[in-house]
Amino acid sequence: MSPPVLAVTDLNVEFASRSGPVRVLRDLSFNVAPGETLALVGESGCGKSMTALAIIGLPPPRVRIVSGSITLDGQELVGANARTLSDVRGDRISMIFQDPMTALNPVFPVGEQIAEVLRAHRGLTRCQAMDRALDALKAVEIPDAEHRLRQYPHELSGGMRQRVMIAMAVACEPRLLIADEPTTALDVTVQAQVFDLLRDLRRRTGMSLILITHDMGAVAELADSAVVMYAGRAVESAPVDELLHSPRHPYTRGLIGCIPDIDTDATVALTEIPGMVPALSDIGPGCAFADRCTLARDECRTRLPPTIERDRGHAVACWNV
Amino acid sequence: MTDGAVVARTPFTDAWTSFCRNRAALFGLLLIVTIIFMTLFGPLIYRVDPLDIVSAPLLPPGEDGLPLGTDYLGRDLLAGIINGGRASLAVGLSAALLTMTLGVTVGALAGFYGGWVDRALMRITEFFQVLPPLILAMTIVLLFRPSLASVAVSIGLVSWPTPARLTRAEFMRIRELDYVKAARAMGARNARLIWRLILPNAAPPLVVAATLTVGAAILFEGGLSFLGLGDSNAVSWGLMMGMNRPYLLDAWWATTLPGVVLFLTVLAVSLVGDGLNDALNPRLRER
Repeated sequence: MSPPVLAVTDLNVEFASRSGPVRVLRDLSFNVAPGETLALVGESGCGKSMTALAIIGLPPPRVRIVSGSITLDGQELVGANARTLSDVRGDRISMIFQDPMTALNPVFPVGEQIAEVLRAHRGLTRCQAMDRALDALKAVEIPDAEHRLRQYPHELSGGMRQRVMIAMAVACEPRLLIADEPTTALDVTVQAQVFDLLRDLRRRTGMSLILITHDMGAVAELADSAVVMYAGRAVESAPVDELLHSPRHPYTRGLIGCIPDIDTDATVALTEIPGMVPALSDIGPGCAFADRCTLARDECRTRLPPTIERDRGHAVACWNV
Repeated sequence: MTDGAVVARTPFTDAWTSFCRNRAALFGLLLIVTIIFMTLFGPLIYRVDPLDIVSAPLLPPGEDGLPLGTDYLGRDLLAGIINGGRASLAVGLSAALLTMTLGVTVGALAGFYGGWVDRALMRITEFFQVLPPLILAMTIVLLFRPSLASVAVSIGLVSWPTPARLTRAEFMRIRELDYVKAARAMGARNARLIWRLILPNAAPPLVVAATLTVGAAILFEGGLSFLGLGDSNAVSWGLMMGMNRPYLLDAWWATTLPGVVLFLTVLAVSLVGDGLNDALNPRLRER
């Protein structure tokens, strides 16, 4: 097996709150193989986006990596200096964000913004960079790219802007693209187009993709494997087929139970997971999901379940499995 | 879509269209252009030395072929007003330039970097803010020889805290916006974030502030000259008002007319500033 593009090992991240440090990511480990699409799945606040920001070395204020390692093609990124990280960002790792409406600089034409990334990382001249920006826009299947190049973000639709963001992110042909809920702000038909585009780009360029989402449908459609996160911890990780067909963790089962199935009887009620995600500062010594779990036993509340690999890369952290 | 037939819409053309809809602002712009034209080309057309004694002192407007009369030494008032504009505008513009350069630099660094940089720069800013500006400016002028340059520098040194605070606030706001974070995620370094992302987006309120600073600086120069702290070898509106003030009851025109021109200049600059504010501030711009 080829070495992973990205390896995250025992990552621990803390937020310095007023009432003391809060662990936002706990012993997180996963690998992304070349060309693989890995989905990070979970509800809001489970640490998906925090993981992405930790990888690109831009944790929010008062958040810091306490321990663990993040390596990109073997190069350690935790503790790397700011210059190294800004060289890596946009060149070997890129990230696209949830809301394309606000993620582009409103005062410059989009072509110029793509060209700037190329000039920063590739040292191209203005003209060369604009040529490459045009190629990048064509690569994300924007019709009439020559014209779009000179347009301002406010003249483009949401779907177009997300395509521009993707063009900017992949302009330098990164090894890894992190897509943080790339379609949440878009309507459904555009979502499908963006997924098609991401799949196509991955196939053409061989880049790896981390897809951050709460949508199991998106996971099924795009990902090769998935890590289910809950309260800053990976509770289950497995190849996608395996995860969808035989989920083991009660939380994963709950998430899958929330997807409506067009083939089943419409009168069958969707299941929901009772309760809410606990505040990270309130988590006891046991499993964070215990309070919402129908299978919870005394042991679940007092002892943290270890992550145990069952079979074929399927790892679960639950006492009941 | 009607694209292609239309001239390319940019934030700048949008602002210009919106500016043109504001009549007061257009009037102000016209006034400024007139005044600048007068000060630049007036001396070439009306060839009278403003320092020459041409007639009896304190002649009322119209007498002896002098359209605006004479001052207390018998110098031509019209020549004084035309030539005085150069000093007033030059000092006003250069003082405003200095004010904005200092203010934007300090504010940008404080707002972008935050932390101890911000704290240190803000303490310095507050130090300048609590001193009475006129007294401080007078002291600075007196420390050097009163000249147009020292007056401009002194005005710049006392006025920069206001734009510094404005810039800092804008930088702190824009620094946290999505497109700045996204640019960071694409590998943009601090210099690029400051110059290409934050400063252009902070420009609208800064342009307005710069315009209003020009008005304030012209007024400030007038005040200093009025108090006799200007360059006494360069005619300026403030100097004329100050010198003729003792004769106000006998010859109102000698003090009032330069004052009216000064007033119109500052008014025009303020109207333009106001128009720019409406045009560049998207919240005030009508849809």
